[in-house]
Amino acid sequence: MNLSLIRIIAGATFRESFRSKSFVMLLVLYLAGTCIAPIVGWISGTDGSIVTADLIFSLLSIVGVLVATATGTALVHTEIKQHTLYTVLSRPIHRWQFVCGKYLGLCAALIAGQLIMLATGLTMMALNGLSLHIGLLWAGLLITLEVCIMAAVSLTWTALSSPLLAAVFSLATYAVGHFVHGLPGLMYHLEGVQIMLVAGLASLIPDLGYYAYRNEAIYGMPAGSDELIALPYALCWITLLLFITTSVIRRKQL
Amino acid sequence: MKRRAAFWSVVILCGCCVLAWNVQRFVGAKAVYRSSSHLDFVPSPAMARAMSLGHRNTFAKLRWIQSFSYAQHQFEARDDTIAGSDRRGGFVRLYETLLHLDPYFEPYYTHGTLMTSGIVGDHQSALYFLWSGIHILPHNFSIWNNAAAHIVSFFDYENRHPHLMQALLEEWVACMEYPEQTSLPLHWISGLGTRKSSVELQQARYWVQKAHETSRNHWQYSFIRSRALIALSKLGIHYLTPLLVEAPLVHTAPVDFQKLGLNRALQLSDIQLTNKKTIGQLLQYGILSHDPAIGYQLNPDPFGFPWLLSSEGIISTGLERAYFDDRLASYSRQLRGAIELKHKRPQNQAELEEWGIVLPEPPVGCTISIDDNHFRAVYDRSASFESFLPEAQ
Repeated sequence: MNLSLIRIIAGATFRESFRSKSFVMLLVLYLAGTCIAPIVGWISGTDGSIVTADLIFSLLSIVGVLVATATGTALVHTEIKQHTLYTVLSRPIHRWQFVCGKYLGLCAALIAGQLIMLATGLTMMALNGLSLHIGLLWAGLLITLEVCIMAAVSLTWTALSSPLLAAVFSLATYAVGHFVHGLPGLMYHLEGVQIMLVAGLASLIPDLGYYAYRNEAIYGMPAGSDELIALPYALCWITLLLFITTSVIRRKQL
Repeated sequence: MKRRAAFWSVVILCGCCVLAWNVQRFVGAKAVYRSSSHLDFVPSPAMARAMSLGHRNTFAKLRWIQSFSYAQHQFEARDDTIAGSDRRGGFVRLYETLLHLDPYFEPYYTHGTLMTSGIVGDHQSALYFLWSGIHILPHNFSIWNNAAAHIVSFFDYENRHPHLMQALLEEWVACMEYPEQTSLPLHWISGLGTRKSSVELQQARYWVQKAHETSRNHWQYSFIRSRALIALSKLGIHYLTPLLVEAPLVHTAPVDFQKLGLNRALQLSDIQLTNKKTIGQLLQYGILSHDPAIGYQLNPDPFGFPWLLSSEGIISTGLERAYFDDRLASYSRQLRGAIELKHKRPQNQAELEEWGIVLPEPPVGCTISIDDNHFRAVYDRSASFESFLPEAQ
């Protein structure tokens, strides 16, 4: 197994992602959002620190997922459009190495972006009077894991469809992924076969509710068992999605 | 070169115009209270949780902020019925959803109590929110304080179930994390056996404390202030009535209290003057003032209007006006319904009566106008209170 090839592809993807306009623009959007968030806090009639912190963490998740989707769906497509993919694939390299390299590079860029956003967000929270604690870092880490899953999801959808559709499907997966976490509370509306059907379909979607610890972290609540299984759960989904992506790309006539 | 300079001049000019146009909207702008009669979209807690897509806190807080306009409307309308199969009021449904989504945010408990109890008068639901708050945030002083005040004010636990009240206060002390937070419940416990606090006193204490805690710029301040004034007026009536009934002043017709010289009346009432606690309460809440040179002085009622003494007891003319404003709110609802039905505003009193809206007799110095499909009572503070008196009429 030649890991250096993966490292080279990952490095190139990292540089490419970090320099992409959509990546930078979304980071700027996040910074603008964090500056505006305290205004909502002031309107609330409270001291505003909690409201601001909630908004900042929500932005961290939403912008992170948007970056993962925008960058992830454009990665392979840009390679094909610029004909650079053929140069890469003409080398003695397996498709799985290409997919893993691309994913790891994308993840590295996303993690770097998340760290920048988290640092900015925490600074803004501290300026707004919220006392910082380790739980907030843990919440930020879980959001980063969520973004990594979404990067894998967007890569899979890109392999299965066009970039535009892949972006739409990825965002839909994010929405449904959070919706399924609250689904057990709505099952009383269903009966018989409906329960089996809905439970079966919901099981096919990554449950992103495990990464929403931010809602408790803001108040300094300790992490529960859900948060502890978040990492192995994310690794399982990422491996599965990369396997699907590799299988699809291997069968593609490029 | 010239063309380039001209191009940039036009761009800068346009930029300045747009900027000036936007800025001028803020110059001299007055605060406008948003008011909405609709409380759209109050999903069930489980549905709201699923729909928030993992952003429960943000979803709840934005929904809460959006509901302020509905609360503003309810200050006048006092009709919390909203659409849907759930027969409970809008506030109960809203705060139940908010608390399910974001249970650790303390203001939901205090605001939920204020809305359901203070506006709609649903004290049971308010108590439910406070108990939920104690369950979720057991170390929160403010929620305990609100719960204890609420249970005394609206359920009279100090008199009806003093042992339960004491147990509650002891539990409050046990739950506090810092010693300074226990002084209030400990004082309360120590006074529980000896003090016979009236409901009026508890209400006044509750609302005055709320008014002190709320910023003047807060959107609820005017409502809380009006509740505090009402509670203080009731307190004044409660304490002044026995004070003057026992005074050797018997009046069959209303008289302006201040004109009688209350100082003399109080001095004549030896029994009550010796009750230093009562006098202390009256002084504390500004109903009386004390000047060593003159003695006790009766201040105007908390609304700034005179107290009147009639054969039935003491009247706070400011409170009478506040009650009239409350009554007017229900007529405003009728008016809005009639305007929506007829697609026009009434031109005069006769047309209003033709529509079936007969307004009650306004208090002295009050004129009623129609403003934005609402009745507004405007009071002339300079109006003579002599007209209250039968001799002057």
